[in-house]
Amino acid sequence: MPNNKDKSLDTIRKKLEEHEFDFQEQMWEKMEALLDTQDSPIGLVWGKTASFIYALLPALVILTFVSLLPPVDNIPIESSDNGEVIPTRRDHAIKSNQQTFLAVEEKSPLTQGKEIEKEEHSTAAIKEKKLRAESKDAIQVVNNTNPSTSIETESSNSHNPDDNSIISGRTVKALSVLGSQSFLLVSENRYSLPMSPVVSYPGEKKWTKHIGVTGGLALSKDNNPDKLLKRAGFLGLNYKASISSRWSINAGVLYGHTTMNRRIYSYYADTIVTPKRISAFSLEYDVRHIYFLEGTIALQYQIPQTKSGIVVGLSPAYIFNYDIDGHHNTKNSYFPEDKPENIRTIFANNDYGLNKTYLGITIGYSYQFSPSLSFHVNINQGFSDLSNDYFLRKNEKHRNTIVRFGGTYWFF
Amino acid sequence: MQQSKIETKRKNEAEYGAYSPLSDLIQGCILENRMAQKHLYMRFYSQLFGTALRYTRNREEAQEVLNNAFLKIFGSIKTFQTAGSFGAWINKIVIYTSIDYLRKYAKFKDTAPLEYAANITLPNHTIEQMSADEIYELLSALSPTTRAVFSMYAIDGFKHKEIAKILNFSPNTSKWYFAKAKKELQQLIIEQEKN
Repeated sequence: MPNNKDKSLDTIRKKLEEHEFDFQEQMWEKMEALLDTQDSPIGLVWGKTASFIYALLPALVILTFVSLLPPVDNIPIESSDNGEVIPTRRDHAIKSNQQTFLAVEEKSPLTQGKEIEKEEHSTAAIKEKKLRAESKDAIQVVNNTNPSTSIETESSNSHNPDDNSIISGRTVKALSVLGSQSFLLVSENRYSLPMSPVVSYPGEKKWTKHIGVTGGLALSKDNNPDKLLKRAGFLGLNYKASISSRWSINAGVLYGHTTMNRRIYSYYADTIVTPKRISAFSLEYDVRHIYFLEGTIALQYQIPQTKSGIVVGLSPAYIFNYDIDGHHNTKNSYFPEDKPENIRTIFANNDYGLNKTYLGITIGYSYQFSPSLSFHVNINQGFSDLSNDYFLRKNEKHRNTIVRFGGTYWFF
Repeated sequence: MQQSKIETKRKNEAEYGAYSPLSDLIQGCILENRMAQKHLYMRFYSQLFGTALRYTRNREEAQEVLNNAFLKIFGSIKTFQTAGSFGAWINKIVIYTSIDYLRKYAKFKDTAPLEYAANITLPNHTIEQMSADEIYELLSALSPTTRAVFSMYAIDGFKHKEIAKILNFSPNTSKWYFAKAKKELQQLIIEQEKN
C-alpha cells in the first residue's frame, strides 16, 4: 500500500499505474535471444571449460614453483659410525660432474700425484689454471653458509672415478642454502640453481628454470558505466622454465592496486539566522580502492638472433572494488546569547563494490636487456566472465582490458 | 524436422494463448515452454516496464532492466508460492533488479542530513493536467538515489525502514532523500508552469 498522505503523490501514482505501454515484438525477440543464450549448450560447455582452466591454473602455478625446490634426497652429507661417507642420490649427481671435471684434470700434469704446494709454483700449474678457465664446466665456489655440511677438499692423489667418497680428487664443491636446507651447487646439473642470473639466450641451455620479481604500471579499462581508464601499480612473481632453446613456459602472479580519489563529492556550508542561529558544515568524500589479482600461464617464443620474445597465454583475473566514504559533519546551533553548542560527527562508511572474475588471453612482448633484467609489454583481454553471480555474468560481461608495462628482475 | 517444429509451435499456441489463465502460464513457464513465457511476458509487459522506467534514466535502460528481471523470473518461477500475488512478486523482482542496476553508477550513500523540509507539497492541480509521459520525464530528471527512494516510498509502498534496509542506509537518510525528491519535483513543476 502506498504511504501517501499527500494528494499530489496519489495523483502521480494513479497516473503512472493507469498508463499503458504498448507491447513491442522486438522486445520479446531480445528477451528470447537472452533465453537462448542462457540455454545454449555451447555456452554451458564453454563456461565449464573456462571454470576448469581457471581452477587448474593456480594449481599449475603452485606446482611449477614447488618443482623448483630441491629433491627430498638432497639431504646433507652424513658420515657413518666408522667414518665413511654415506653416498646419496645427490652424491651420484656430484660424481658424474666430478668425472667431467676429472676429464679436464687428466689433461693436466698436476694430476700425477704431485704435492699441491709445489704445483702452485710450477709451470704445469699455470697450464692447469688456463685449462680450468677455458672449461665451461668449471665448478663455482660460493660461500658456504653451513659449515657443518661443508666439504672443501685438500689435494689428493686418489682420482679413481669409481670412488664413492665425496672427498676425492681435486674437486671443489660448494654449498648453498635455500631456506634451511643445504644443497650442492653443481654446474650443468639439472639440480643446479646458480646464484648468478642464468636467463637463457637462444641456443644456450635447456630445461633451465628462473624466478624473477616483476613490477610496473598497468592501465585498465572495463565496461563499467564510468568507463574510466584506471592506472595501477603492480608487483608480482614470475617463473620461467625453458623447455628448449627457443620455447619456455612462463607462469606468474600479479597483485595491483589503485585508488580513485573522488575527493569532495558533496560540500555544504550554511548559516541560518532565526531566533536560534544554526551554522552547519558538511563534507563528504569518497575514495575507491581497486585491487586486482592476476595469474598468467603462457608460452614464450624467443625470436632467433634477437633478445626479443613473444608471449601468448591465459590470464585469469580478479578485480575487487572497495569504497570508503567519509562524512564530516559539524553543526553549531545556538541562541546568540548562549554559548555555542557544537555537534560534530565524523564517520566513514565502507562499501564493497562489484567484484569481477574473468579469464583473459595474454599477448605480450618481452625484451631481455641483460641476463637478469627484462622488459615486457602485455595485453590481457578478458574474454570469459567467471564472476560468481550468474545473472551479472550473463548480462554485464566483465571483460577488462589491461595493458601492462613492466620489468622483471631474474634473480635465479 | 522442420515439420515437427511447426507442429510443436501450433500445439504450444493452442495450449498457451493470450487468454490462458495465469496459473496455466505459470505452469508452462515452470516447464520452460517458450510460448507460455512469451504470453506471460506480454501480459505483464506494460506494468513492469512502467516500474522499470521509474527507476531508470531512459527507455533503453528500462528495457534492459526488464529483460534482466524476466530472466530472474523465469529462472526462479518454480519457487513462487501460489498463495501470494504473482503480480506483486514479479513487481518486486523488477524493483530489486532496477536497484541492482542502479548500483552500477549510483552510490546509495548514508548521508547524515542536517536539515530537511518534511512538509513540501507538490501542486496537485498542475500534476492532474500532466500526462504520464511528462511525469516519467520529471522523474528521470532526479538523481538515481532520489528517484529510487521516491518511487519506492510514494508509488511502490515501501516503508522508510524497508528502503533503508534495501539501500543500506538509515531511515532518516531515506526520509531526507524523499524530501529532496519532493523539493526537486516542486522546482521542476514550477519551471514547467513558467514555460
